[in-house]
Amino acid sequence: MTEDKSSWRKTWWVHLLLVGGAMASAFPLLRIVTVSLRPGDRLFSTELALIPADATLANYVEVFTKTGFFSWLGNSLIITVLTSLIGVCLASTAAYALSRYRFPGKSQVLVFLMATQMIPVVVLLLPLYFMLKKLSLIDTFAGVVAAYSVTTLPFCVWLLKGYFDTVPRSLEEAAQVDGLTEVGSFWRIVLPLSTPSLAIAMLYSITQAWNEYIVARVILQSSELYTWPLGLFELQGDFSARWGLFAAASVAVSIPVVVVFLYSSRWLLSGLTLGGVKG
Amino acid sequence: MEPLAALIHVAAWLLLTLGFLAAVELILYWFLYQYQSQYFWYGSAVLGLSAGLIGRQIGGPDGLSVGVVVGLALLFGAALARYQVKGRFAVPFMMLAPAFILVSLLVIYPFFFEFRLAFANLNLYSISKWLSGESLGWVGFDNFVKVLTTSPLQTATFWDLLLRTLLWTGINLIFHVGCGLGLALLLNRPLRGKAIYRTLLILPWAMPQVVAVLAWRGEFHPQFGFVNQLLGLVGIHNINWWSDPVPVFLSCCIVNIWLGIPFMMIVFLGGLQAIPKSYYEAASIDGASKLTQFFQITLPMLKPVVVPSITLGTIWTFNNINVIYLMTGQDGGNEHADILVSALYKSAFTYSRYSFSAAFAMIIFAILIGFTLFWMRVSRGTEGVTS
Amino acid sequence: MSSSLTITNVVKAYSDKVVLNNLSFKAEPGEFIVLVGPSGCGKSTLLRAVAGLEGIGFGKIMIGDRDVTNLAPKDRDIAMVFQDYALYPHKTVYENIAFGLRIRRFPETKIDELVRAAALKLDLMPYLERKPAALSGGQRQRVAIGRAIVRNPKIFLFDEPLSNLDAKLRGSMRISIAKLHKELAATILYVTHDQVEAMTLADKIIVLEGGDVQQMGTPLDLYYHPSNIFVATFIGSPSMNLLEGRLLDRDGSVVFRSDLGLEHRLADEYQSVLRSAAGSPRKILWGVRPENFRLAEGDCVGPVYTARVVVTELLGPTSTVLCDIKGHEIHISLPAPHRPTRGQEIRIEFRSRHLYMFDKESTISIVPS
Repeated sequence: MTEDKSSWRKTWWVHLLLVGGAMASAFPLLRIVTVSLRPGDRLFSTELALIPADATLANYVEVFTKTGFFSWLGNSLIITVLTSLIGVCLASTAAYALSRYRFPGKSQVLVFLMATQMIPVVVLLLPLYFMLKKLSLIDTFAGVVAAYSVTTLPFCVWLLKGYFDTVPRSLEEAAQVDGLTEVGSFWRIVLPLSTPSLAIAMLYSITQAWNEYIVARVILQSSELYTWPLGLFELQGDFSARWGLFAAASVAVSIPVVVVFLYSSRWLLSGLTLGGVKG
Repeated sequence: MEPLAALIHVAAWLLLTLGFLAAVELILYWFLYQYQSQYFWYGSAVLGLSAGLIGRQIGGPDGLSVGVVVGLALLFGAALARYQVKGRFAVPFMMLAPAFILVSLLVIYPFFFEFRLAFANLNLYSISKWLSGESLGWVGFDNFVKVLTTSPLQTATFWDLLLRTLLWTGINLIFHVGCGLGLALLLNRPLRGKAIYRTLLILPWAMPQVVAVLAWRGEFHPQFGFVNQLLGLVGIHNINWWSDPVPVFLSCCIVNIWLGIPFMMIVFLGGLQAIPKSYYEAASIDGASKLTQFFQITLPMLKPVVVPSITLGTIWTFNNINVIYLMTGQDGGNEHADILVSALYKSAFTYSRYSFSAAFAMIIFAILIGFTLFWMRVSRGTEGVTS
Repeated sequence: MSSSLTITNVVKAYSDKVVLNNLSFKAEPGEFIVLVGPSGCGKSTLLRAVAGLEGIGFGKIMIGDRDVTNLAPKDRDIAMVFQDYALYPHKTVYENIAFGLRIRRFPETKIDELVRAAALKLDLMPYLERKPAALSGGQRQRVAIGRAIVRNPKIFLFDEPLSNLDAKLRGSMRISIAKLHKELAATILYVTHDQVEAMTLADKIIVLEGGDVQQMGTPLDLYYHPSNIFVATFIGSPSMNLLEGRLLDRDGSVVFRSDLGLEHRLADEYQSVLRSAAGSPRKILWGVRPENFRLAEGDCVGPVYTARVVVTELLGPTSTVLCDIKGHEIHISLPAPHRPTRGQEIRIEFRSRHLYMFDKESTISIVPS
């Protein structure tokens, strides 16, 4: 009887703490939703209600029609897609070489890959900026894509190498006996088999590139090229009258991102162990 | 300050020379698998000279860095040629090449360029001259000295920033790991609504960081933000989160902690779920209390999960520029929350002190390398971290 | 059209050990050669070297009259059946078999014809549209074989193809492979660690150990005239018993006397041949195969011994009995109805037309073949 009561009390506490945590987690997003729904003249009120009494979608309308919202999204999309494609393509061949072959310098490359994870982007940002400036790539998509693909490369190589390590070599050997070259067996046999891992690498690159701010801030300057973080930044100004617009834009961007993340997070996390767990 | 400056100069030149020689020695040993003393000196001399000459020839602003990259490429080619006899490594080198080229263009080369930049005198005034084709100057170790002795920003000195960065990293890590572990432990029980809790608790990680941080910034607004309203209810008034030194720093900490907990929670949850129940059952049969079980079973079995997470978490927190930058009003603005990396950004792009920032970046990099080497030595003693 | 396979002076070594030590042999067109030996003896390495999947440090490999030593696998016109079958998981059985033909750009109709012919021969017709994951081990094995035969290569390579199958399946697959060999008249290089497979399938067996060829010959050669102790104990199951002793000259006859006192007068045909070895202090090992014994009943031709039974294993058609003869523990094989019990004393007769005798130190057979 006593065990029952104490475990019941314990469960109650557990739920309390979890509810508290959940509220703290969800709170800022909910507040932004609230602010986005407030009509313009009451942006700075100190009310705490979640859905204000006179909720209106005016902010959303204005964001969609009067700001460059969709062009920002479009820019982000182009940059993200290009980055992910380049990143994953280059990473796949490099990961295959690291997985299947022994060659001089291999361990140094692996160490180097791990090391690059550690360097903050800011350290390389300055020289990168000058390089791109000299090459006239400042304020272009190419410059941003170049910078982004290099930052996602190490992780993608690590991920893909882990997966390739679990593909039995006899498959490629059979393919070579069947008539393919080494590169051919990679392209036609190993790669099609690696689609789960490639998808995860793509997903990772996409999330990285989509949400990135600092590098884009430095490289992109004209507002028609802004990615959505830069655009959002413009909107939030200094807590001026555009705060409502900022809120609306934030919600509009966040909802799909959160949904995609939640949907794929389980998959992504299992993918991180894909390489290790498979026997 | 003068003796200090002189000391730094001498030590720096010594390090540079020794470092260069060590690097050449290592490269010769690794790539060509030949280490014969007499060739080493000739080899280094030839390499150094050719790098310098090539650099000279190319002229322009970044001759040295180009020279170094060419040297690297020559070594790469020599390695290739040496083994090309049997063509054994042609395929892997070919497959590695595209990624390698991209990385050397966009990571290695900028790095060496930055290294060169640190010895020049590039700033807002001299940049137009440089861009129109003049070469970079050479001021020796001046910039390094300036970084360590004067302020990268308006008032904060390097040491202030370093201290604050360590404080920042420490505070964040404690809460990340502590709260993450705590939440993971809570979630590791059979519960109703576990999926809902999990989904809600991941939100900080799921939301785009820019949105989350800017939203939080709004909530810290001294007048209209939620935080002050809430504090007002319990009688604390008028904390100016946006301009007073300590509150600014604190607000950044709070935001970053909020952002980082979900990741730790998920990692720990995975680790906890991987511990077989049979250990706990055996322990309870042996009579161990829940607390003992936690310290004797849970914690040790979590170690292989905890150690890499802490490593990653430390590095990410140390390098986190987004939060500080977005929270403190960005360009110019407030300095009181700046850590090393955000100060670097500001000194480079807000104050346009380019060479100074380059030196600053090199020093930050050295700190990170030092930490990693130290950490690798320590963690090799405890548990292997393999990827 | 099958061709010959010639291996000449092949050497392969890593920095710390030699894996293939100067091997040479030739397989005539249509011959079934089995490479047999314990794990790590180099047989798989040699097979893979012939396939081109691994390089060799020194030597020459010729298929027919083409020197293929430096050619990639795809240019050697060979086919290989792997131990783990190596079927492409994302392709159907049909596509797995057709793959090699597609790469060589055979016309679609020809591919269809060849694939179906192979499937018919291997009883795979009902499975053509399935993926490998939906097949049993035996079926997968047949698909792997189908993939190999459909291209009609010059040489077939088999890398321990039956190791992953259960005993019953192994038996039936062995027969299928033997039949296939006859039908296709193919040159086959087959690697296994199972000497039963070697004995039943091979035209010629090559026994390898530690990178060296121990002996090369027909199955019967190896069985009746093993050139050293390794081959003698490797071939034959249960394996040969070895008794340690010396050769003596007793009253003009050559007699083997074991260290524990067991004596055996050599058969007449071996008397003169081994006379020179008699009386020498060299340690000799006498090999007796379990199947050389039978229960002493009626007229006995060979010497009879009294043995005390230690353990009996009932195997169905035979029983393997571990018995004690004058302190030596010897395995003997008795036909079915006989099942002596532990402790029982039986009288057994030793009958063998072949003598197995080895020098203990050099392990080489001292019986001229």
